[in-house]
Amino acid sequence: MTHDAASLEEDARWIRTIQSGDHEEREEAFRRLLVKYWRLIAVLTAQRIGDRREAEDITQEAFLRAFRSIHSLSKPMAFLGWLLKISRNLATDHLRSRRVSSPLDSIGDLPGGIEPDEPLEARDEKEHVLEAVAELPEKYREVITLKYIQGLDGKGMARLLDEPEGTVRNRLFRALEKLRAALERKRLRQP
Amino acid sequence: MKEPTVDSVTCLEVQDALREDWAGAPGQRLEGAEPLPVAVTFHIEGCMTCRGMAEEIRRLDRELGSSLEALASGIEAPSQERIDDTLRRLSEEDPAARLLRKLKRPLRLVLWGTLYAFTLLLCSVLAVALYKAILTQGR
Repeated sequence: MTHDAASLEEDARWIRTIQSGDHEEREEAFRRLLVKYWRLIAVLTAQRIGDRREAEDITQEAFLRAFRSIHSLSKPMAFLGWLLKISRNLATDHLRSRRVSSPLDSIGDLPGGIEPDEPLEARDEKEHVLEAVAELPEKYREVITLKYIQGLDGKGMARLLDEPEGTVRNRLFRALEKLRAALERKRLRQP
Repeated sequence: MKEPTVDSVTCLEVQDALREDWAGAPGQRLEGAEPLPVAVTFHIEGCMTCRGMAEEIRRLDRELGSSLEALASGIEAPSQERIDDTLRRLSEEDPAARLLRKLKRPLRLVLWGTLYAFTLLLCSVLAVALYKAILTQGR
């Protein structure tokens, strides 16, 4: 899915409907936003906490919190950035309460990550890439996931996150450099 | 128009252009990406270092696309049950708000009580201090 100006305008329209529409219209708008961003938030959370089921519960909680206080959102186009912040905080609280030092041990166990009948080399490569992404600092992991799961470019990301385009592009460059370096290190360590 | 040569642009400019190209393209393997400028393409063909970097970025882009898509495929869109549950919980009062509403009255009583007691204490201290000052001056 790509995010052009029309898609962003659509988000803003749904947010305005939630803020001022009648009960049925609001429910429909909630439903659409939930379906549109569910996977993105769930994937980001799963990468962070390493458990798909718990990630989906946290995702639901993040949507509930966002929807409950949506009236305080002054810029409807900044909805995703706001939702990401809520889910990030919830995941942090969850990790703190579970006292898990790192989610990386379980990233390879996430269902759907690796196909069991894939050739060994391809599986290794995917595992390395997923590990390298999981090892990235949060802000870099987020932009990489937005690019590949939500199909965004730097411009679309900047609009959705309500941040300057240059800042987001720089973050993407840094993420790319960090990934290249991490994968190079992993390849060198391989026998 | 002058034909571009390998030296029309520097390696640094080409590497910046490659990074810009990657960041500017939507995910899912550079679909819809703008073609690179002719001078940059020409340089890449003739420069081993830049060609290596271009290939590395393309490979990483492919690997990121397939790995993250595979990871995301394990996470499905929300089920109808999950959507209904979310909407049902939304229509209920927020548990935190409910708790706050329940606590509001006793909390208000405690706060006003404390303020009242503190004011009373302050007045007493001031009265005693004033009385002592009057007594000292009288002597």
